Amino acid sequence: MAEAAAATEGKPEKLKVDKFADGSITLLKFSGTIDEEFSGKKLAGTLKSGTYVLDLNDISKISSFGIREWVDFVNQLSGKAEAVYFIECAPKVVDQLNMVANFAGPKGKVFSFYAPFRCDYCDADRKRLFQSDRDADQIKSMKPQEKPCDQCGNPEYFDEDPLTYFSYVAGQGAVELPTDVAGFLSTRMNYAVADGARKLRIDKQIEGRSTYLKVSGDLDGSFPTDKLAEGLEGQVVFDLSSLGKIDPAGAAEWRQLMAKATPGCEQIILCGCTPAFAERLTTPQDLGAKGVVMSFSMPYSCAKCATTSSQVIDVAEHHEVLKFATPPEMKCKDCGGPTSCVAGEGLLSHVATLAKPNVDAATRKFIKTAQDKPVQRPKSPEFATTVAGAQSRGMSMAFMALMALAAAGLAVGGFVFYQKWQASKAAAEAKANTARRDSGRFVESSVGQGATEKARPPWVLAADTPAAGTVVGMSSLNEDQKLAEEEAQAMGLAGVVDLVATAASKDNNWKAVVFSKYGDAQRKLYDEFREAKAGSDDGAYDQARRRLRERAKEVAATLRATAGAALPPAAASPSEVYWEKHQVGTGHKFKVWTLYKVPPDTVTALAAQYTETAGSLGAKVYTLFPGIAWRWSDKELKDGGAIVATLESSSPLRQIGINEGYVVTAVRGRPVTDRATFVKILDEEYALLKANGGNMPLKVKKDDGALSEFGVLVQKTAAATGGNSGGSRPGGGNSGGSGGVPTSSGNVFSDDPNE
Amino acid sequence: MANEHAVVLERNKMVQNRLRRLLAVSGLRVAVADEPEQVAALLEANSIICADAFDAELVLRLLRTSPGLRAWMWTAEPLERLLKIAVEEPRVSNLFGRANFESTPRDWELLYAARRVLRPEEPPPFAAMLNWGFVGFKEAVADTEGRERAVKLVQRFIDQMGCPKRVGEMFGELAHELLMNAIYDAPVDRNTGHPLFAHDRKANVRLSPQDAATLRLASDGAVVAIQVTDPFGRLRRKHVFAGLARGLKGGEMDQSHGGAGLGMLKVYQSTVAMFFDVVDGQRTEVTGIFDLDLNLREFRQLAKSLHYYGPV
Repeated sequence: MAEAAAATEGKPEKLKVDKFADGSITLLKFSGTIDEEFSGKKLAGTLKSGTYVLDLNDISKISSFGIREWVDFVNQLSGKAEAVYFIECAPKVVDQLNMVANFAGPKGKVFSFYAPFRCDYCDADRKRLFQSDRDADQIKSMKPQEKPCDQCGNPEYFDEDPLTYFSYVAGQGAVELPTDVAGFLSTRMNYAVADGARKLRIDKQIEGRSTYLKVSGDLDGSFPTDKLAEGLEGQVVFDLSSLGKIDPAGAAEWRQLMAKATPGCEQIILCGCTPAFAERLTTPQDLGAKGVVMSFSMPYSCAKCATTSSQVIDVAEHHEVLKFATPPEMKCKDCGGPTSCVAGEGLLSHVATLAKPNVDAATRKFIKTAQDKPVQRPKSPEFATTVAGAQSRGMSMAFMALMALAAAGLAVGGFVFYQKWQASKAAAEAKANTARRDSGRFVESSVGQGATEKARPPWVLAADTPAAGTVVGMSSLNEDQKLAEEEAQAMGLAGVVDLVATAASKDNNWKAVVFSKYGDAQRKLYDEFREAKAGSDDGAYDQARRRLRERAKEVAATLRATAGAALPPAAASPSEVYWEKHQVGTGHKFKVWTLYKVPPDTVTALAAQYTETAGSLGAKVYTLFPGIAWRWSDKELKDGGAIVATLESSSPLRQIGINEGYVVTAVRGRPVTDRATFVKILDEEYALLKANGGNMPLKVKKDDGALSEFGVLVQKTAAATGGNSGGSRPGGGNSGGSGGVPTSSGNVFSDDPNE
Repeated sequence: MANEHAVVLERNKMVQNRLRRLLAVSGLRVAVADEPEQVAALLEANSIICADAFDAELVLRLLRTSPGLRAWMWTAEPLERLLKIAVEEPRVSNLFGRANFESTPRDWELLYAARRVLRPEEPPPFAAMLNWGFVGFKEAVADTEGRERAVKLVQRFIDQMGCPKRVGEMFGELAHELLMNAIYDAPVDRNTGHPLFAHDRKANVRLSPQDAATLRLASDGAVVAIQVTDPFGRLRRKHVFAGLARGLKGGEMDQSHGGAGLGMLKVYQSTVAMFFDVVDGQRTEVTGIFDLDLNLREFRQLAKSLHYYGPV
């Protein structure tokens, strides 16, 4: 018997669609499974015209019937939408885009998508966001760059077939988001979009004594206060509806603008203030004597159609309600149903303090006209000025052209000055950040209580230019004194390794084979660290600091493991340690310096240890140099290895694909720690196999970082080695075991393995 | 038993030797040819000719002239070319993927195919796909809720093996796809032969216990095998080969032949080998194999296998 029934209500939702709207832009965030239960046409039927952004990051499954429903959805949506952007597409969605030609619909453009990457060492799958504009070169070339794994530093590789994976997005070309869409995504929804899209721009319209300025993009320290304030007069309207993020420097600039503009203006009207702007920059002090807030936006949520949208609140119209810190009742823009305000308490209590603005009908009409007027996008994105009614006031076209040229000259001059000012400001900020991270308030040091920073030992004061035969290691500020000391020791030994590298580089082959392997990686780590230290992002600094510290520790550990007798105990440990305790915020942090004494003969001995070669089977090898750990953080290399220095053309190692620069870590499972063990093990194993024949596997780290196994066939046998792509299968009669992976219904095969 | 005869055309001697050994051990009589011109002389009336897609034209020519011949074809490249041949020629129903031109197809797959030829009445059990000691489960699926439950079980099983999340999701999709076919597309009215639910995928379905589909999932740690069986036996060769060919062709969804091939495509993309075993009106058994030792990139780039046993 079989029966069918209509789909029942009340089942758990497989697909969740969250809607966020702001003006004509709507973001739809899809989470869950797209299968036959998804009603594409039904969803599209509830949507109105405008620009749509579809976030497809949380799609976990798509079935074949789900694809049909989806195609119905995007086709119908494209019929009414002005534009449809796909963002943060999950790899699963990218697969569908590649397979089904109309998956994006006629108007769909993919702005960003995730690509799968994998680190074999950590056994971790990760995904990286690609943006169609920012990463256009990688997408077009279909060659995603490998990047070091955040955990272990080994390269993460792109875990897909690039030709297939990038075929759709490469074919569509670079997609740039319009400024308003980028602003909506970055500021309202906190998405990552290209930096250029958030750049500040100001569009200006003048009519009579009224000036309308639409401010779009992020409000930060680059805000051109002076340039903007200059010449503002009459009635000035700032439309802030497309304003992006506001940082403290931007807020300060805005306050200055208001202060500078107030004397020359009759009234400064702020309309369309974003919630963040309204909450932070519309206090009576901020507004000054002439500033008024005409309108601001607040988020409202509709339970009926699951839409959260931004509603513009006219302060004059709703003042009687707002003054009691109560949000006015608003109808859902989509379904007309009731909504509830989801703004924070901070905003609501603040808007209660806003004065009722007095904006006359003519001004309102001027604002409406200016807002409705399509924005002219000039090639130079800084300013766009349109002068309404200029001709009616008798200006000739020639005069206007002259004015435009003069304005352009001023703008260029101003821009150059502005750039220079920005550069010096950035340098000052970088300096301040670096200083902040280098020290706090001095509390005490290892010299003794009561000592000041001035009591630092001479070798600490001269840490940047240490005396000959010495190396100084220095930690960053650390809450744990022991960790700081470890860091300083690691940095000191890493400095010893640098000294040795300088000496060893006199050997050209060593320099070409060994130093070239890690030099760039080391430099990059230091550059990233310095950059992060000067930057404002504390998280990035911590990450860069950790990366550098961990690598330095590995360099130090490899030095200890491979240097042998060339590194005397006196040089392996610091001869002096100095620490300082600083107060940072409400806590304490430590900074440690270590002094290593490395006499010239020690450096010479160490350089010899790493530049001398030993050979077997036509291959000469160096002992693994510790500096390699700057490039590869690898447990396989922690005990050392042998770097192939030269290979004869007849060497069996060359014949199986090994090249100069490869690192041999094991032969037939026996670990190779240096050049001597390489020769010893290779000779022994070769002699052993020569008698019976067979394969001698070598574990080798190739230039690309991949750890591979190469096999030297010692005696040719008739045995076919012409591969087998699959594993062996007994071919029937198996019985299933039990245990291991838990099974929900029990292991049914144990009762009848051949069923 | 040993009367079945295979002729292997393979230029690489090492691969040729291995093929000969594998097929001979299964019980087939095997003849090998280094060059195409040697093949005709080696053929018997009912031989199986085994060759790479590279020699497809020769194989098709021989099939046209000898009605008793069948062909096994392998490739190290995407399957599209062989699919075209399989769509046109019903005697090409076994397509083997291989890692490269210097390797044989998977040995167990060759043995499986040989066993099907030698003992057609005794198809190898599900266990034949896996190494001894595997673990798995079986679940009867009779309704829409059962489908959801089974899909979750599949995902949980894969997750508990420690596989990456995307493998679990992929198998969830695969199980969903196969079960949709088994409980929506396959069921027919036993008297009239009319499809019962194929027209409405959104409907809740409830099948009687004897009409329920059976899902099996098992793994030996290196391979995961999934199998869905329904008792209707309605899947036809054209659904498999032509459907997949349509899906792989891409482009706008072409539903003019009963489906866009998307379901078949999803199944194909989630496995390294698929086996379709159909007994007309009695049973459709679809088995998929996934190799856990491959990373996603290797998996995508690997040539896949497709085998169909059943009514033409």
